[in-house]
Amino acid sequence: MEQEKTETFENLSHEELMEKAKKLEEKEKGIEKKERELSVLEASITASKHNLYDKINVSVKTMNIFIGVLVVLLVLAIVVAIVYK
Amino acid sequence: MEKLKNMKSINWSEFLLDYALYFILGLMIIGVAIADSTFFSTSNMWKILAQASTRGILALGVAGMIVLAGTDLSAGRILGCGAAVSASLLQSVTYASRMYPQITEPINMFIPLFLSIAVCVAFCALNGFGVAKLHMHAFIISLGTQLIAYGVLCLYIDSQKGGAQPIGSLDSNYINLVNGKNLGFGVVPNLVVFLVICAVVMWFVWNKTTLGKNMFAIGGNKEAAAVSGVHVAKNIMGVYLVAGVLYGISAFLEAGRVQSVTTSTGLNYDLDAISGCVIGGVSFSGGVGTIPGVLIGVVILQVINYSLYYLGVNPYLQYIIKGLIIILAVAIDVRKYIAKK
Repeated sequence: MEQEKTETFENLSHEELMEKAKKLEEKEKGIEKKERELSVLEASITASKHNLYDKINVSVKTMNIFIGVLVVLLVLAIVVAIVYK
Repeated sequence: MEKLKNMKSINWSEFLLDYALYFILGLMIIGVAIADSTFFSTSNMWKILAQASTRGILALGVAGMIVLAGTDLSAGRILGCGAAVSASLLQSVTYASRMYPQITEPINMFIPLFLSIAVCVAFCALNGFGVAKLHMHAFIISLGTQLIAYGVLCLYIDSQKGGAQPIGSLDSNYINLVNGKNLGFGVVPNLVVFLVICAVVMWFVWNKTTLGKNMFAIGGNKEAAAVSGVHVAKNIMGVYLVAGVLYGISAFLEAGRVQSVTTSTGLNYDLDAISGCVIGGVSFSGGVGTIPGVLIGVVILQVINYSLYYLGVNPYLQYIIKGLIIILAVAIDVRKYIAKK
């Protein structure tokens, strides 16, 4: 198959080869354009995740403090509930 | 070596934070068991599991919606409607004030079960349509449906000849089917058997069917799922309809369990189901959750409810403790999300 291709190219004239090269370059440009479009689309998809927690703008440290306070409150509530039943 | 030591200490603190809720709940249960050694008796455990069964089936339906990054605030009231339909059709034929005096022979139990499922599916279809087609937030549409379902329930109960009164005096076969232990599994209550059957079916739906896989894909990233060729609206509707079937089954069983349906039947069940799911690791950010996790969450919550009741804790304080547990579970979930980001 490859031999056939080589033979075909060998039979082509210089002008025909130039024309083929031009077409290939255009095709390559088209593929590059498509790739760019796809990467833009991919970026928009991965960035468009709108879930409930996306709008929470706090650090892990703040969350740790918040969880600590909640744990203390929960333990207190349980102790109070058991003592004052 | 130094680095390894540091890593180990960081992991340990992370582990403590991620599982803080389980540690507290575990300590609480151990405390109750020490205070009263009869708490962990076999009969008590079966009682807790039987009580958790109807809420567990309800939670299996709600969990699907949370995986879709939504929720359902109407689950409890929808369950109330289904329970009222089941109970009204399964009142004892010898009871003079029954809702349908024209029913003179006990009817096949599949009819009320089917009608209960139909009612619940209709409400869930409304929720599903709002979310899938109208792109409404699940909180809003289910809040509206909650009120509609409550209105329908009140009207239905008020439509009795003697006015609004509890739908009770249920058929003994129905009560035996729900509260008995006669399905051939020894000491295991029938309610627990029904929960296990529903859980196995739902595990299959979540893990082995296209609907389940699409549900996780949509919950994880809706846009990516749509680009990958997933029909988002169709799958969201599918999840809501499956939840409707589960609500219907749960409603049928709940009516038989409590043996009397009033306008307050199903009140706050949705919150129990949602908190069970969150405790069990179903993330509100969507795309995360397992069926065993949901079951564990529901059972843990029921154990807490039961232990607080067992200790004679003031019911108002019980609400505060349950509320704090829900907030803590969500806070831990948010922390995990932020740390991952």
